[in-house]
Amino acid sequence: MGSILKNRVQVKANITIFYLNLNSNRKMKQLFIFLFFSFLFQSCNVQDTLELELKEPKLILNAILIANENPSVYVGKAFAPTGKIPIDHFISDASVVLYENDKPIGTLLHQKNGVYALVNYPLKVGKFYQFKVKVLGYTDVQNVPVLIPSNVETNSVSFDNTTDYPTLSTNGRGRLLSVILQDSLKGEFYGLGFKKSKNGSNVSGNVYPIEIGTTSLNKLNTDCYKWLAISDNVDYSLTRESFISVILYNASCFGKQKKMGIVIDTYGTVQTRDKDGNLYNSQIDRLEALIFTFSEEYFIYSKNIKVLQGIDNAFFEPQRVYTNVVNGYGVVVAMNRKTVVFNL
Amino acid sequence: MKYLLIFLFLFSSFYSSQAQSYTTISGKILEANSEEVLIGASVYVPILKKGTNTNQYGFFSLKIPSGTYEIVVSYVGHNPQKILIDTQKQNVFTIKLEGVRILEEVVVRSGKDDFREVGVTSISLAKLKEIPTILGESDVLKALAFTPGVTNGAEGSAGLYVRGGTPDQNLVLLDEAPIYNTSHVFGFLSIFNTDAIKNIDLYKGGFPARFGGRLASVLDISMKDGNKTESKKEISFGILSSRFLVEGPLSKGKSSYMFSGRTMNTGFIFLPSYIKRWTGKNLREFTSIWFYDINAKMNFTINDKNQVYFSVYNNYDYWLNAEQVTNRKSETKLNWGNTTSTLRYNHVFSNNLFAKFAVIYSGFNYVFSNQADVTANTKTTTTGFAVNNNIRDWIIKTGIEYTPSTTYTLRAGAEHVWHRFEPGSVEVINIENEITTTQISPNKPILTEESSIYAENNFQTDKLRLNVGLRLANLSVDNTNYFSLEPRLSMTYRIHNQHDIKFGYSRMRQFLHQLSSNGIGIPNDIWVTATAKVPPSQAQQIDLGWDFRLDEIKRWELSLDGYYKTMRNLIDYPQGADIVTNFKQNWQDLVIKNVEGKAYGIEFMLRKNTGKFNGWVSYTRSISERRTEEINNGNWFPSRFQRENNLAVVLNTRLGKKWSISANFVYQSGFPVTLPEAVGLGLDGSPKLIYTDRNNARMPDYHRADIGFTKRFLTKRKHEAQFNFGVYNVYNRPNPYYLEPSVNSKYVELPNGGGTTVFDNVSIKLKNVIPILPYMSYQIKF
Repeated sequence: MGSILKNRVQVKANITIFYLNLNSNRKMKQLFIFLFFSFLFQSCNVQDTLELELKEPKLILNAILIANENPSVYVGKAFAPTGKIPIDHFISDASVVLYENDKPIGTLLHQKNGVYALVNYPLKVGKFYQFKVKVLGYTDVQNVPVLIPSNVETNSVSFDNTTDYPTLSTNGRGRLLSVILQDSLKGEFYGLGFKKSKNGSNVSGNVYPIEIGTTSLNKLNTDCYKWLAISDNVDYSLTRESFISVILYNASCFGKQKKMGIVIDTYGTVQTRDKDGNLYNSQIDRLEALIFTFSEEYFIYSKNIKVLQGIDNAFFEPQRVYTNVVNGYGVVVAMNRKTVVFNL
Repeated sequence: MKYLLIFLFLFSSFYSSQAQSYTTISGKILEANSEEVLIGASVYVPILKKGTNTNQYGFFSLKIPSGTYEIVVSYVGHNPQKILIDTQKQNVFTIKLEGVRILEEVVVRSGKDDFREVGVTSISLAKLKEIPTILGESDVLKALAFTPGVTNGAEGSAGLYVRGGTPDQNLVLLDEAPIYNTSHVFGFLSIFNTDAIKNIDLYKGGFPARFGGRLASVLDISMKDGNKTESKKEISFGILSSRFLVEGPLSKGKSSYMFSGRTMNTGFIFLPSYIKRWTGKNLREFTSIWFYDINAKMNFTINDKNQVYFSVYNNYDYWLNAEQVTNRKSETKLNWGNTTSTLRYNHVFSNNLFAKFAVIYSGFNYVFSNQADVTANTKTTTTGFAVNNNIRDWIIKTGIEYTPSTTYTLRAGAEHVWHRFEPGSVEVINIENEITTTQISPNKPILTEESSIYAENNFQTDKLRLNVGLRLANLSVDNTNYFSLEPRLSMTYRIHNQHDIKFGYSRMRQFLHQLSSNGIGIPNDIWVTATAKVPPSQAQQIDLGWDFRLDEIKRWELSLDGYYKTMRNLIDYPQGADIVTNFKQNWQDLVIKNVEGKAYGIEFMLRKNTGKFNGWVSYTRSISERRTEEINNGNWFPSRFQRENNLAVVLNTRLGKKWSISANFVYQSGFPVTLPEAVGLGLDGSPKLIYTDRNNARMPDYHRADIGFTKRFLTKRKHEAQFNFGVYNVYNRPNPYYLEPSVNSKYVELPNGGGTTVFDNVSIKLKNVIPILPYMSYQIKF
């Protein structure tokens, strides 16, 4: 695999010295007085780092296609599995063409950090979209056409702001957000998340949605539920992006009119600074319930990406990373969403 | 049918009566001090160039022309005896061999009759016990990995990988009871207490028809019977574990007992933490690991013709990790263990007909569980899961050994097994508002029945040793029957006094599978049976070999062996699957079926058996691959822990009468591992490791040297004692145990003030756990 080992040796040895006087042997008597080093398992901590090279240059396509919004896609390049993350991780001179139901629609223009966009072309529900990308020196890539999922229809969206629900966090305060879907169809994938804000600004914090179904494991990752962090406005600047925590539901697991419910842990607790810069706890004044429908690719991707990669976890086989990009890496997915606001 | 006809033909041809006047001599070979039977002792008549070996119960039978002869009886580590016999006067013998005293040099010369069987590892238990292992723990399973064709998996693993097979493909028998898990302490130690073991045989090919049910190897281990003449005690103290053994006569010369136990010393280390825990004190983090094993055996000699044995084995491993912070408490537990019991009755019908009947129980339990309690606003929510894997086997077996002629022995028998598998049932618990919700996976217990009959035709002249056998087996499960017809052949031909050539053919079928994850660290391998949906796996193996004795007294030997094996209907996990989060699925729907396998290799061994300086060098070059449409796009990929090159050097020497030194060196190619092919930014803008093909890379090569010193002496009270010390991994080679990939960030200051955290690099650390480790232990017999 052409790897080079780099030694970074840190030896922290607890040494205990024993003098042993071994007697009763005519030849050997009193010849052995020696030092005996006693180590425990952790007493010697040696670490090597593996260096791997990139096998083959390949392009990466990443896109979340959102119904009724303009399309954008990230065109990047794969880099070596170990070592420095290159600043030039993206392609800025690619030819990126969008296809709708196999018909070319237009060429996307480079914006920043490898993100290409097409303006004034909202994506339509029920249509298949595909990007075809050409870059000099790379094999041409394209994604498998992705369907924009149908609109979210709900019977009710409610938020119980008075009852305490059990949570999984320290000092948690749970509040229940529940949604009854109008007609959840088999083969559809739904999601429920939220944003919270105070004085018109989004606030983040140690807040996780917890599925309140019959198997209340935190951050479920089964064939029926997935926990997913959605970042829908990624700028690929190598910084950590903010995200919305969402529980995904596979409608195949449930009957029609599925009631989706999540406990919003540590609801409403926001740390804000006063005029002297001191942190204090205050309450949010607005909650946005986000109800999604997702393309199947998004569900598969979210299942795949949440699996711990096998070599450091005994229960998991190493996971082949999901891609729907032909000749490249990355994933192109689609979603539709509806927002219901609760002013508190 | 074809095989059956061949089998009957061979049987009838060998069974032809002989016109000359013949007598069958028979009897037992015993160890003189303890009167334990000696397995595999040689009985040889030089003038006739005929001989035999004792069977698993120390019994021998040899048909020779009537007359007066000198016979030579020998066994490794014992002084050979020459006895003059007159077949007209006596034809049943009980011969006792004196063990070589500890202060004397061990020189053993085998009889000239002993053909090496193809695919059989024949290294004495005493030599295997001398090989230094982790923390000085005597471990025959780990020591076997120094022999050709056998490797351990990762550093510290106790599972044996024999000729491209996996640990689940090894039939491990302890007093004829199958053992399902051979690991203590996550594999750092095997479950066999060497003090309680009398004999160990490893078959890697040319499998005798009496063994079946696995594809790769047979490890046949016999417990000590117990000293029939006097009471003995042994106590050993080591760094990792301490053990004891008591044995003695129940009725002098007729019946005896043996009881042996071993426990991990860390129980004492964790005791203060346990006391805190029991007394309700808050422990932020608490980890405990502990094991024990017990061997017990009794035997009763009713008379010369009837003998009863009863043995019991039990082992248990326990690991706990608990965390507690304010309102959250979690516990993760893992425990596993085997229990076996064997009741066996041996009967000698006549000088040439020996029979046995056995009732056997074998059980295996494995539980991995996690539970978390969260208290908020006086309400407690409990979530958790438990993965269970249990096996219960009830076995009856019978067999005969019949020696009707000077050159022919028939072994035949039958076996029936009732299995009860509970294959990886998963229970998910949720207690909320005092309402308990429990979900159980659809992996219900499965009951199966396995039946088999076999016959082995052993033909031996001074030039040829031939074992032709046939095994017929059937598994009954889910109203489905899997019938298996397994022809076996093992042949050794002496082309010259110093040269033997060997050939073997085996067809094997395995009626159970193990779901193995490529992850390492904890024994998460789940045993499952073949079912109507998941057929049994099968293998065919061809072996070729050449033995060359470099001198007359066999001080130096050289052997070269090759094998080729194909496997069908193996199973595997799909990439990304795991039984906990996919608990709603039945394992039969989760696994990949019809996986193909192939393995081939050559094995070389040069050894010096006797003298002050002895040991061996072994080298194995082997390939083992798997193929299924569902992994790596249908291409062949290396199997788990497959190492292409294996070199082992084992050296023993004596310094004077009391001291001995053992040193060994091992070099192995790195085992296959799945590494990322690239890194790229993901949908959320963070770097993601991109994994593609399974086992697409290899870990760095493994090598290590150990040295051990032993001083054997008599205490002032004339008790035999032994002091061992040494160093494992002398030159502190950081052999990696697992990999730890990580994406690392750094803080950068922004031009307009303030700062931000950006992704900086990706690293994969090779984590090793066993550095240079000195050890010492002390053993005393009284």
